[in-house]
Amino acid sequence: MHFAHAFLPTGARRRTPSLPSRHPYFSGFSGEVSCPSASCRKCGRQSLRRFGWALAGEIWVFGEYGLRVCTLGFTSSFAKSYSVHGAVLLVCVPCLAHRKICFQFLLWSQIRDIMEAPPVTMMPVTGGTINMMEYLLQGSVLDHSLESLIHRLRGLCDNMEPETFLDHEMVFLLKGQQASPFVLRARRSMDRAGAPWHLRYLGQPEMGDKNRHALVRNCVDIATSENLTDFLMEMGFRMDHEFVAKGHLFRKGIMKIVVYKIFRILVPGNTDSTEALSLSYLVELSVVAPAGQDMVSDDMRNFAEQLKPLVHLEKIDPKRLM
Amino acid sequence: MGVTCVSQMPVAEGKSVQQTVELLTRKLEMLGAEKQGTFCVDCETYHTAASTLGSQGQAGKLMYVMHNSEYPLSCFALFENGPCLSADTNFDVLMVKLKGFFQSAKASKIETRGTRYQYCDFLVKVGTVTMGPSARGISVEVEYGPCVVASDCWSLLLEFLQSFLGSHTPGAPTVFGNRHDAVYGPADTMVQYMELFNKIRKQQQVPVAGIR
Repeated sequence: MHFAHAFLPTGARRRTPSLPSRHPYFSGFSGEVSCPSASCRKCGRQSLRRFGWALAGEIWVFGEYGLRVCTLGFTSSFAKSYSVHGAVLLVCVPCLAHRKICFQFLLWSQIRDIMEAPPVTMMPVTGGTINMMEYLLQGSVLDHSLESLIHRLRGLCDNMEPETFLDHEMVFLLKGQQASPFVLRARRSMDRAGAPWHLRYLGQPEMGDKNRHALVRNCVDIATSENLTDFLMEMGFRMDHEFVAKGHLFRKGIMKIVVYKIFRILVPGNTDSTEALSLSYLVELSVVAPAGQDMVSDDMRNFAEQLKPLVHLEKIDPKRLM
Repeated sequence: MGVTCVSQMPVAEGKSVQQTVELLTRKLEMLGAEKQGTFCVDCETYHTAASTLGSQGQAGKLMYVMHNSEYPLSCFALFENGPCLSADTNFDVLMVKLKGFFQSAKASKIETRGTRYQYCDFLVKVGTVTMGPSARGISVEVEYGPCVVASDCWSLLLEFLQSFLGSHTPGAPTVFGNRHDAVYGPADTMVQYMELFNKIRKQQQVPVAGIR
């Protein structure tokens, strides 16, 4: 019976305390029903008896309406045995024609028409797309340990040609009235001619579940044509910083493992003159999956276990670094 | 993607938009064109929110986000007299995230829907341009598939247009004017549609007297 409570409108109050009852299905009242409003009780009682239904449950009040959350049972003439037919929500509607209270069995949709529906807030339409989340674990290895890590990864990951990449990434900011600017990352491949540019939006990391093993944030990936930087400038974005990433890419199922080195660009716009940022390689294990699939982070943690002690991949909160 | 010309067909005297479209399609069918499904091109307008204007010190710009059923997995974003970006459909999701910075002017969503006709190497699309519930005009798009360089096939396109548009044949689109020998692309078609939609938006609504 308790699931019927979900249909009660907000603000409804229970009128009678639930009384212990002999029958396990019923609580509150049983047998006859009386309406809280000061009108004819007789009608209610009579109609119920006529149909031979027994109602037992709780009385709730919502404005001038009385509501019954009850189980419906069919009584035998002996009025002792019940067969339960299900839980119903009955709305007690004043019947002005007869100046009596008539019970009506109403569908939830009809109930909503009678009750004043709460205002519906306009939800933004996402165009029917699913929200994708990026699950991320990061770590690093010093240059001299790179070979052994690559060797281990080649053994653990999907059998494919070792893939290297050389990418140039630019980070754009759009400053508005909000305290934090809007960040977009534009990435292009320097070694694959004809590949589209990759525009990426990464949301704030989802805080909450401390047990979740990976950093989770909303992500939107868009492939674009080559005039992306001109377009972003036209939109009002300004480039904050840029770098070159060079490294290796591995895959295991839906997991992507990237081992790369970041190079600082010495002359803005000139990707030929670069200098390594550190003596280490950044290792990232990431999955892009629809929202709500938290078991992904368990799979990621299990994979990360296999890479120990070569590299310790962990959830790194970017805010704590700053 | 061949060289494409997008133009507007004025509504015939004393006839409604629908009747003029029917006249055109009947002419095309008599010519021997085959109907090949439908098409839709739509355009939404976004303008920079007031909050971001102060930091840039420039007037608010209008950004158009368009879709073309000929390229169902793409989304085109352009500025008037600015660059036109081709992106995939996730760009719409990004626009939702950017709603604090770019506000959609919902009332000005404009679209054209109609039938596609194939006539040998030409692909002709005749559509009714609607803004909300009202029909505002007629768009005619003609694509010559085999050629991708505008200057090489403009005269052929013009001749074909004259055969069924008659006196309403347009002049060379402005997108051709800039780069004669450049390869034509879908972004150029979207720029033409954007110009057409802007022209129709500024026009008066089709007078009621014309609709019997």
